[in-house]
This record gives sequence, C-alpha cells and structure tokens, in this order.
Amino acid sequence: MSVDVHTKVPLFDVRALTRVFGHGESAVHALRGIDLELAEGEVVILLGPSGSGKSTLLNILGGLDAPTQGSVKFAGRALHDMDERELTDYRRTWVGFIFQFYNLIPSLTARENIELVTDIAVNPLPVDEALAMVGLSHRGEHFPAQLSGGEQQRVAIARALAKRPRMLFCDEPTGALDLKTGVLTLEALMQANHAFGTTLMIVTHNADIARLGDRVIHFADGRIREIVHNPVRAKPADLHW
Amino acid sequence: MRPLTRKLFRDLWRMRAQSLAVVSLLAIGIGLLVSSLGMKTSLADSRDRYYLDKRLSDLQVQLVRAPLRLVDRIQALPGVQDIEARVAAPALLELPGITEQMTARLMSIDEAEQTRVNRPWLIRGRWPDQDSGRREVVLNEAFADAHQLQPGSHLDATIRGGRERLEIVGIANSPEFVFVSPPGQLFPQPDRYALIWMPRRALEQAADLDGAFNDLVLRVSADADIAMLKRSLKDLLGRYGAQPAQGRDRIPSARFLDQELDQLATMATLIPPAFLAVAAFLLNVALTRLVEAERSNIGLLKAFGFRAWEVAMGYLGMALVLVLLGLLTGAVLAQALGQMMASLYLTVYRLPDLPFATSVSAWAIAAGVAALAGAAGCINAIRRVLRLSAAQALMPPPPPAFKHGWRGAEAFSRQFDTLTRVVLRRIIGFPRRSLTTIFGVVCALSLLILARQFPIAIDQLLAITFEGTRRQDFSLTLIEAQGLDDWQALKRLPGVLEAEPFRTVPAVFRFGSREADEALVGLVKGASLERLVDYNGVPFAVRDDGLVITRGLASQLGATVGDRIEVEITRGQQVRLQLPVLAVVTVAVGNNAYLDLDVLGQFLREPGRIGGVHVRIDSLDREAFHEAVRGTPGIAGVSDLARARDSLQRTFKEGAGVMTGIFVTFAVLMAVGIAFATSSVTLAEQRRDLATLQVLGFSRREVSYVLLAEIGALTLIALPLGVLLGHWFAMQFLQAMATDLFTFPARFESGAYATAAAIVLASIIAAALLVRREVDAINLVESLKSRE
Ligand SMILES: Nc1ncnc2c1ncn2[C@@H]1O[C@H](COP(=O)(O)OP(=O)(O)O)[C@@H](O)[C@H]1O
Ligand SMILES: [Mg+2]
Repeated sequence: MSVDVHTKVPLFDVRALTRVFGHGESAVHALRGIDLELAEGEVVILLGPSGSGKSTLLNILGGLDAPTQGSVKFAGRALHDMDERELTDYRRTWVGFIFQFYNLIPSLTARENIELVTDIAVNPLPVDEALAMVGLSHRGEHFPAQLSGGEQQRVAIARALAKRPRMLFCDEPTGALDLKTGVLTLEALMQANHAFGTTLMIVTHNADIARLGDRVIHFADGRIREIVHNPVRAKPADLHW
Repeated sequence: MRPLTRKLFRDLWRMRAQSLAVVSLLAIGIGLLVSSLGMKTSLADSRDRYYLDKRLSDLQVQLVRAPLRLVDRIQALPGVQDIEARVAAPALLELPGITEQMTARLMSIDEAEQTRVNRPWLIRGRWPDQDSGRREVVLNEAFADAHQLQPGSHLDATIRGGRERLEIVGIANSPEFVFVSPPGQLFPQPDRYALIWMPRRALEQAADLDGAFNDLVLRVSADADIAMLKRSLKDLLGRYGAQPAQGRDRIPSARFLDQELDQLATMATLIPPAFLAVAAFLLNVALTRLVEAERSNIGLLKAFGFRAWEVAMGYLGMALVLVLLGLLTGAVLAQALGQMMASLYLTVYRLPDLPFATSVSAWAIAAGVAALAGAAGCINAIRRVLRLSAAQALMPPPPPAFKHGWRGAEAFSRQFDTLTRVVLRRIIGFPRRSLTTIFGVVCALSLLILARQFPIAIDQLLAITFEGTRRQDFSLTLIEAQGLDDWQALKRLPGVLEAEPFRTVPAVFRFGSREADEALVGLVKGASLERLVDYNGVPFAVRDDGLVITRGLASQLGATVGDRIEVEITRGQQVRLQLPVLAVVTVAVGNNAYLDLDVLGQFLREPGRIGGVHVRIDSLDREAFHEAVRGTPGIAGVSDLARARDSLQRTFKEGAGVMTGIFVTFAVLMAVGIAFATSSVTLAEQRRDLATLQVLGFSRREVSYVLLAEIGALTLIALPLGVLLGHWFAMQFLQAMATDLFTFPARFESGAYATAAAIVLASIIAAALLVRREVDAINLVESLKSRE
C-alpha cells in the first residue's frame, strides 16, 4: 500500500526541530534543524550512521524526550507544549514503541505483558488476536526468560499493536536478531501497517531493511541529508542481511 | 592512596545515607552494650569498694536488750571478725512547716572514725562530742538535702515518748544506707525517713538502754561457717530477744543494689544484640546491592589482573571501615550514656563516688560482637564477588527468570490487575529478600513495642500497687503490738474515714532444705485498704486455714500449692508452725506470706493484738490527723502512700525515660533504613521496567504504585507479625527484669501497639516517598537505551 505524501493531511508535522544535550563546550547537537512531514499509513525508514540523531528524533516524536527548539505537531496538536499528563495520554492512546532490547516486564507472562496495554487502551485488540498476529498464540503463558530473543521481540510487537496505535516507532527492532527471526519480526510490523493502517517509523542502519519503506530518510550529523522514495516496497522475506 | 582504597572511600561516600544508618545502628548497639556492661562493673566496683572501705556488715541481729558485757563473747565466736553492738531506736521527727509524720532511725556511735562495722563517713560538719551535754547528732545526707538542713540546724525528735531537741553538727552517709527506705518499705523516701547517729551515752539514756545494746552488726572472716555462726548467735543471744541473724540479702539497700545490677546485666544481654543484628542486616543489603551495581567494575578489575580476593577485600574493607566508625561512635556514645546513667544513679544511690569506667572485657565483647555483625553483613557480598568470573561480570546480569510459582500463589496473583501482579510476583519470586524485609520491619516494630511496653508496665505496676493493693492514705506502725484499746484509739484519730488493722512479723520460712527470711503478714478478711492483689489486679482473700504466699517466696522455697511449709516466728515468743500453702500469688511488688490477722494473733499467743493500722483519711483533716499522730506515743512510723508512689514513679521514670528515647530513635532509624534499602533495591532493579511502563502510557502515579506496593505489602504482612513478636519479646523482657520484689504486669496493650505500628508505618512511608521521588527523575530514554 503506497501512500502519496502530498495528498494527505500529515500525521506528524516537524518544523526546525533541534535537540542539544548538555551545554557550553560539551554540548552535543543531536538534531540540528529537522523539517519533516509524515503521512498516515506511511512506512518511513530512518537510515544513518550511529550517532547521527535517529533515535533522538524518534524519541521526541514518541513523546519520550522534548525538543530544545522547534515544533512537533501530531495530528495538529503541539507535542512540544504538552505537559507530563498529556504526554502520558498521548503515549497511552496513539503510539507504540519497539526497541532493540525488548523491554518486556520479566515478571509477567507474554499474555500479561500484552494485557498491560489492553487494560489501559481505549479500543484494544483482544489479547489472543494480538498474539496470533505475531504467530505466538501457543506461547502466551510463557515468561520472557522462557522465550527466545525473537519471540520476545514479537511479544513486544504484539504488545505495541494491541492498542491499535496510529503510530509505531521501531528503534533498530532487528538489531539483536538473526536474519530469520528478524524477518519474522519485520513481517509482523508490516502486517500491522497493512491491517490497521498504522504508520511505521523504523530506525535502522541496515540499508537492506530500507527497501521495506515508502520513504527512506538518510540521516547524517543531526540533519536530513536526503529523502529517497521507493516506488515499490520490498517484502521482508526478500531481504538478506 | 592506592586506587582500590580510593574507590572504597568513594563508594562509602556515595552510599552515605546507608553507611550512616549502619554506623548509627552499630554505634547504638555498641553504646548500649558497653555502657550497660560498663555501668554494671562500675556500679559493682564502686559498691564493693564502698562496702569494703566502710566495712558493711555481713550479718545483723536485732535484739530486745542485751548487756554490753556480751561483746567479748560474741567477738570470740568462730568466724567473727568485727562487731559493733549498737543501740538503735526509732524516733518521730518534726520540722517547722511540715505536717506529715517523719520518722528516723537513731543509731549509737562511739569513736565514729574507728567504727568497725558499718562505718559512717562525714560529708560536712563534725562528729558529735561524746561528752557534750547537748544532744549533738549527725544526720544522713539524703534527708539533709531534702530539707536543706545544715550543721547548726535543729530537729525535734520524740524518742520513747520523750521529746528531745537535736542539734545537727554533721552530715554523713553509711554503706548500710546506699538507698534509704523506711523499715518494711520497698521504696525510697529520703524526705520522710532520716538516719541519725548519736553518741552512745546519749542514746542509751534516751532509749532507756543503759549499758545495753539492741542492734548487733558483724563482719565475718572469709572462711566463716555462716550457718554455724548464726546458730551460735542464736544460742548466745536468744534469751535477749534476738531475731535470727540476717545476711546482706536482708538489708534493703544492699538488696536493691543487687537487683539493679542484675537488671543491668539483663539489659546488656538482651537489647544490644537486636541493634547489632539489624546493623548487620542493613550492611548486607547495602553491600550486596553495591556488588550488583558494580558487576562490570568487578569484571574490569578482575580482567585487569586483580585477584578475586583483592577485589573482595574492597568490600570487606568497607565493612571494616563502617564497623570501626561504629565502634568509635559507639565509644563516644557509651561514655556519654555511662556518665548520664552514673549521675542518674547518684541521685538515687548515696555512694561516695561512681566513676563510670568501661572495662577492657566490655570492649572486647563489643569489638567481637561488632566484628561479627560486620562479618555477617559482608559475607554475602564477598561470596558474590568471589564467585563472579570476569567474563560473567562484564555481561549484564541475566534477567530475573520468573517461572510459574506454585498453584496457590499463581491463582492468588491472578485475581489482581496486571500491575499488582508485577508486585506480587516479585515478592513471591524473591522470597529471601521479601522475608528479610519483613524480618527487618518486624524487628523495628518489636523494639518500639518493647520500648513502649516498659513504661506502661511501670505505670501498671504503680496502679496495681497503689490503687489495687495499697489503697490506704497512711500506714501507722506501732513500736510494739498493742491490744484492743489502742486499736480503738487509732480508729478515732481525727480525719480517719476508714481503718484496718494489720500485723507484720519477721519469719523464717522453711521447705525441704530451703529457707527464706521474709515477713508473715496478717490482714483482716475482706480488707479494703491493704489488699492482697495479684499483678493483674485480681484480689485474693487471706485464709485462716493456711498461707497465701507470693510467687517470689514460693520460688525461693521451691514450694507450691498443697505443700506444708515451716514458719518460725522469733519475735517475742518463739513459735514454730507447719502451715499449708493454699495459694501462690504473683504480686507486683513485695515478697511475703499472708494469713488471717486473728489466726496470726492466736498463733503468736497474742490474740487481738495489732502491729499497726492502715487508714484512709479525709484530706480536709490532714493537719489535725498529723497533729494527733505526733501526739500519740507508741507509733513507730507513718508511711505516706502518695509520697511513696511519687518517689517510686520518679525512680522508674528517670531511668526508663532515657532508655525509651534511645529505643524509639533506634526503631525509627531501623524502619527508615529498611524501607529505604528495600525501595532502593526495588527501584534499582526495576528502573528499566518502570521506564517501560511509562513508555507504554502508564502515568507516574501508576508507576510509583509498582515501586511502593512492594514495601507496602511487605509492611502490611510485617506489622501484625511485629506486634505479636514485639509483645512476646516485651513479655520475655519484663520477665527477665522481674526480681523477687517486683513483677511487672504485662498485658497486650492494643493502644500502645497501634501507636508503635503507626510510628513504624510513618517511618516507612517517609523513606519510601523519598525513594519515590526518583520515579519523577527516571529518564525514559536513558533507561531504555541499553541493558544496564
Ligand atoms: N541523553 C543524552 N545525553 C547526551 N548526549 C546524548 C544523549 N542521547 C544521545 N546523545 C548524543 O546525541 C547524538 C545522537 O544520538 P542518537 O540519536 O542516539 O544517535 P543514533 O540513534 O543515530 O545512533 C550522539 O552523539 C549521542 O551521543
Ligand atoms: Mg540509536
């Protein structure tokens, strides 16, 4: 499902975004002025060398971090002006996260990890359905320590999808996985995009994964160096890294 | 400084809150231990020196009247080292402005400085002139202080019905009266009871005992056969109305001091270990956590070629530094506590001096115990360091592997929402840690309950003693037992609302091979003033078919209900009886046997005679009552129960107040320490999970719940356990503190326990909220970036 960026209302509207860590001589300019629009349903890949600011951008868009300057609007609402409570609401209702380390709660089973989200979401998926989407219906009663890395990552995806998020941020979701499990993981993500029209932003430094996106944003030194449109998205199964 | 040493001090500084808690607990434990041990030896030493220096008697015989020529024969008895054959007489005192009856014991002195037994020593003034025509006397210090009497002051005394004006020429103390309590009274009444030394000739005349003595005190040689000596004394002096010779255990002052020493020993063995155990516990928590947090450092150090034990030494070093700091602070504290206790004791006990000194053995014990606490506190951490291989240490700790618990726990946790399950699974999943936390809170609460129970027990002891047992306003004791006429006269004294006769005779009780010198008390049936009441306030009736004895006497004799015991009464006519024990009563204060007054009179072949009366008076007629008592010959003493209560209360409260303060401080420190440690561990281990929850859209409130519910739930489990254990502990403590004269009433004090629980809870909440603030500071991005 290819989306034409220019004909849709942008889901995210980012203007002149900067993020500086620290100050004075030791200040690190992680983002040096980002302008970007994301359309609903889009799959965007952030590609760039380590330290170029990809995670920083993703964290700000996800409401985990605040910009130093500039504006971020989500569906017309100014993220950069929200207080702690509004940001909590924002994360709770609209966005999901997938990290390189799966961040499952070790004392809860796979099913319960998903229930965490379905308990507080507005219109959640049934837990079984979420598990089925990632092909782990039979592993619901297992604790994280009893699951492989790939399975844990898929539980994390199921957990993120369970709230039917409009936006899913994935920071190097396959960074710790081998090819086969990585492909399974990516398939699960693409399926969410397909099923719910969830917008995906995937951070990677793997150029091959970039072929999955509608757009590939090349990052360097806190700036967008180049945006490449893929006419056709590749399928996860076609990847080889 | 070597790098590892530098690291050690940096770590200590970083953990300063916990280090401080550990050091304070150690210091308090050590301070209490050393000061009570030190106080015990100081008091014992001071006492022994005093007794030796001023030649306290080993035996005392009271007689009616014996000629002085017997002195040589007594001196010649085998085992006798020194004797003093004294004249002693009771007197009533008057001082301007004081209406209550005051009594005194007059004792003869010869060359005071040469007194061979029970030598008084001057504090101010001079000794009386033996040949002076005036009535020169020396007064004891406590009474002089209470009334601001100085050499040069005068006292009016009634001795054997004759009034004398006494001139005080000196103030003195005696080893016989370290603790001044009137005869037959357990409580100090320094302002109502005086000791007066008077030249022999003058007292002989006043007491009508020319050329005679009635109070014999002896020191015996080290190898003396006491039992044989007692028999010889009886043979020699029996016909002069001699009572059986009594040892130091019958000198109230000496007896009280002995009990105080026992209680100090109890304190030293029971209380400090609790503090040291908690110090060890906190140290363990702090160090184990540090090792967990420093896994990678440990790995690096090992990878750099440091040997495992070198790395481990760092943690041992920390424990050592803390133990040393604890010992040092404890030493200062012990010294301060000791000085404080010593000056407190000196207000109650009239000793020449009481230098507080800590003994080497006390320090050895303290150092040993502290080292033990330190070792117990760091052993776990060191074992972990040694076990960690360099490669393992450099990797992040494996995620805690939760598994399905046993069915019951699983079903239980499934009843709760997901966040609560996180909490429950941690509690169940780390049972050792949860139990440790519970144990810590239980200890803190127990200590607090113990601290609160003691003053309550004292209050109850006083309440039962003065509202249950001794409900009279005054007790009048007669010089000699009197008949019906005097009883009628006493009843008709002005202001008397209610009067009850009694008679107390010293007696020797025997059962099997055991023997006890106590008193046989005759009370009227249905008494309402002086009653026989057990330590829980339950009254017992005196019987005419046998004895009711106190628990203390029963255990001295090894006798119980149903046994027949021998009672030998030596006053006046010698009477020997075999009487059954009909009941054993645990009384709060005192140690006697009780019998119906009439029956006692019959046994003594003096039916109807009374030894004194207990009276309740109309407070409006107080002055008239005292006036009349002063004008009544034959009254040996008047004891004022309200005053006795006050003085007892002061004695107890002063000592208990300091202790309670220390205990409460400790308990709070402990509760705060444990709550802080537990929530810090929870936070450290779950920082990442708490961040994840926030990322998923949980609010800080909900996330704080996960952090706080753990310590909260553990506290909820611990509090009732703590109340039970604290109660049990308090009971044990009160039992250990009981003597044959005192039994502390002990009840389940729900109000006090609830307060104690509330204090612990508040401490825990305060500590937990302190840790909770860190939830606000969790950096979501940082926490999720990588595994710690
Ligand atoms: N919390 C932080 N404090 C200081 N510097 C940071 C922080 N987070 C990121 N940086 C710095 O900002 C820059 C961009 O980091 P990041 O967005 O993580 O890069 P990427 O994800 O592209 O590897 C890096 O130089 C990084 O060191
Ligand atoms: Mg990154």
